[in-house]
Amino acid sequence: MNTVSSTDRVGREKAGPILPKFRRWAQSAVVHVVVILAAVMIGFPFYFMISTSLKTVAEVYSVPMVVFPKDLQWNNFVEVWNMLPFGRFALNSVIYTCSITVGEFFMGLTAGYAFARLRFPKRDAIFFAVLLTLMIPGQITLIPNFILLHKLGWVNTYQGLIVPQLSSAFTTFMLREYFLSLPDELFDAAKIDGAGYLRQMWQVALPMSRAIVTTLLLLAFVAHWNAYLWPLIVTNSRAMRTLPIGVQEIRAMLDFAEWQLIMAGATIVVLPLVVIFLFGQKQFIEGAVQGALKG
Amino acid sequence: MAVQVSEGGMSSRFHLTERKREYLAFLLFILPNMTLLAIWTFWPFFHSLYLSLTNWNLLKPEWDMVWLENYARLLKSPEFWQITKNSLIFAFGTVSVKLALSLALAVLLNQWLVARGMWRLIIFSPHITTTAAMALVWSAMYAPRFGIFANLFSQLGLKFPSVLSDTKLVLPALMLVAIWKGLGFSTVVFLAALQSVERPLKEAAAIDGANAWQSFWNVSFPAISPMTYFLIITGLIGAFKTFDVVAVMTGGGPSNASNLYVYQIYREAFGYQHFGFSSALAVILFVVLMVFTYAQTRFKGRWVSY
Repeated sequence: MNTVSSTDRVGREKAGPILPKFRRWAQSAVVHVVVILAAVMIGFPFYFMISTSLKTVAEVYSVPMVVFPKDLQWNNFVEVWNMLPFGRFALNSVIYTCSITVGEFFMGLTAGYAFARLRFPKRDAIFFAVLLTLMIPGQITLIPNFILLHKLGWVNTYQGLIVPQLSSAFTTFMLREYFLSLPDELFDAAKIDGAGYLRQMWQVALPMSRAIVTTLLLLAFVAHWNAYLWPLIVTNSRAMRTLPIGVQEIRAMLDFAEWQLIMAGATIVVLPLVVIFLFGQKQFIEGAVQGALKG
Repeated sequence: MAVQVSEGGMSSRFHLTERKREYLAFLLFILPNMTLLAIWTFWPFFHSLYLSLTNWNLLKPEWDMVWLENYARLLKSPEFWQITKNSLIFAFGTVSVKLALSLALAVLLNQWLVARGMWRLIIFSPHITTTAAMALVWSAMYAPRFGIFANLFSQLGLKFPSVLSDTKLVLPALMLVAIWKGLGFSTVVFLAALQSVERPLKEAAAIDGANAWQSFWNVSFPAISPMTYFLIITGLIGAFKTFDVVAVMTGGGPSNASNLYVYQIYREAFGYQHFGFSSALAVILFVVLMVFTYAQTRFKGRWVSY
């Protein structure tokens, strides 16, 4: 069948007007040039950031621009690291990001499993309530949540940063969808073997969902690592700042903008993401597409 | 065989308890998530509706119900209309330019290319980077004398204006950052949609003598239009929630020329302690977002078979 249609196509192509080889080649060349140009322009801010972070002050302010700094000033990184408690910012970012990512995942895992696999009266109506929370953005709940933190005395604490972010309607939704698609026989077999609900979730549902779990964890990690508004309002002392907020303080500290130091700070914030992205790029890109399809 | 019989007997004898055990497990499994959602999402939502009717202030112990006064003050203030205008220009401008560019890029990436994966990787990468950090980078690139734009302009013998302190140029400057940040995501989604357009469909079009342009408009474009709709709606929602670039690059200035809803909510509440007034603005933003969300669910009902 396949061969028939492909020979058929070749035959038609021969019969139709043949695109001259040169035109095809030229077209492909133009496509390459445009794509490469776009990639260079999109990638340029990263190059600007890294190259500026390795320049001397004189090189930063020289016109025309120094594209390739001569002696790489690795010392800029040491200087900026010592100027502000960057170690502390990084530690806060790691604590904030990891605990939310992991906590949110377990909340979504148990709830997603229950909504997909356990029976309960009006189960789907309860799930609809979860879906409703997807429509309430964090920007709307910001002020009441801050007031509640204030009443609890949680402002500028780790629990204040983390606890309000732990629940996730999105993770619950995605995992429920996936668990619903798994074949019932697997769970029935496990049940006959005497597995309880916790073991069915952990040893049947979870191993079957490795791909989507990796994607969800990566997306959550990046989202929380990049969070700006929430940590900005919850924290008010330098010791509690996360990296994206801490890095802004370089600008406030300097008498005149020493961009090589600010760019070194920005590089420190972005670098862990680049490493993660290079390892998990497939999951990121698939995650983006999947999220779009599920909507 | 014997084992099976005894299993069956067990489950029928303990039918009720087993059902109850399942109910109990269900409640325990959803309890942590539901509790937190109730405390930190549902309740604050209603609380913010309530706050918007008060003159609540973190620093003052007494406060009053002012009912719709916050809303009336908002609708009468020129500042509110300036910010609304900014938000609309920002959202529609960013989304339309971003989608046009990313569709073009996706079509190009869908051709045969050397090292296609690498180009896709680079184009996608801004999407995952920290906006607050990259906004610093863009501030440096926009810098009047030594920034990249100033350098390129001076090569041409032109003077690059200081865009971030120019009331006319500051909003487009922030829009460019948002376009840069979001371009990769929509490109990748478009690319996946284009790749899913079935080959036979395109081949049939080619057989019918369609040129590349006709084949794109009549075969590929209808097939990716649900995706386009999705990207428009989610893009608009995202744009209306913009905060980081404004906070880092301009603080809404000069004279509110780059101020957007969420930054204004933040400034009224955490800058001036006007929690009630700020809540009214948050409720208005919520209504705007609900309109888009409604449009999106409409779309989902229609296209979910995709």
